Amino acid sequence: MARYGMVIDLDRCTGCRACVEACKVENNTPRGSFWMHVFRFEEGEFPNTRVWFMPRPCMHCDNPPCAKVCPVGARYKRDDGLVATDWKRCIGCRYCEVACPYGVNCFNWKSPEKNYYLDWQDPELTARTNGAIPPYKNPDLEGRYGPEQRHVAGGGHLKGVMEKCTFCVHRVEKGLSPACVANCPLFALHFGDLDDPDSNVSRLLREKRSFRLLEELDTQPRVHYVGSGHAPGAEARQIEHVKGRI
Amino acid sequence: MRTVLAILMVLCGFALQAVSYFFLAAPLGIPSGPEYSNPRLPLAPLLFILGVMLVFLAAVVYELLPEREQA
Repeated sequence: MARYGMVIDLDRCTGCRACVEACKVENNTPRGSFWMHVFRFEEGEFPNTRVWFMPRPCMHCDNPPCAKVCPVGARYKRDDGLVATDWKRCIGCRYCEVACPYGVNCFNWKSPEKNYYLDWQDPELTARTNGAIPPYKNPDLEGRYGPEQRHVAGGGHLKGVMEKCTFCVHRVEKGLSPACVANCPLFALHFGDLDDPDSNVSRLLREKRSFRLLEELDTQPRVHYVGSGHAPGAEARQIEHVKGRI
Repeated sequence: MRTVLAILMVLCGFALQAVSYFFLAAPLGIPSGPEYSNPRLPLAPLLFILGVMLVFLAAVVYELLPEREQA
């Protein structure tokens, strides 16, 4: 059984947010809901300042606080290491959101049809599409995945359900990389089997200095950051706060 | 009557919390695999929450039930 993990090379990331875009397109996430987020940090005082970027997907922890508190067993850890959310079982109590120290959980406040990027009834859009509604729903998201055959790929983003990054389980089970990894133009994101010594992720972890976020909490994240960067501390100021429009 | 009922509810609630936390939830300690990540019983957190609710409801029951009239 593979032990999936992600390695993010901070030296390569330029904060282009192609991963954010790819995630939204692949998973049809509602407006204001970011399963992948890129933090932009600034350090130092003018003129000696440094700006750096840190993509942050779900950490898919080996010791996931969110899975431990889910009262209905909707959030659970799979054997391959993915922390999955069964959107058909989730009751939207948001305990996972409270438990997660990384803030990766998103709650669906509205029905999805009101939340997608484009207003399909917009006269300007209708003129371009000639009335045809482009396919906006990825059918793979509705499927059942894993040996448990559960609905863990996000589905139709139902109102009142918690969601988060799935590591694109619907792609991973086909042997593909998550959308953010596949679409990173600078190959800053890597995905693979942490147990395979020949995998990209294992090689990077061997060759470069690495850290994980909030290691002191013993959540054992499976997302590793490599490069000359460091975990954001008190000296890092977040610039350009992103607030989702709901 | 209401005192006995309230005390019973409190005791049951605490017992439910203790059992679900120590024996049914995800085991404490350093994880070494998914078997330590998920609760041993999937609904263990729900049982814990029910235990908490039972304890708080004991106060409501105590206040709402009429006191036995003195002869």
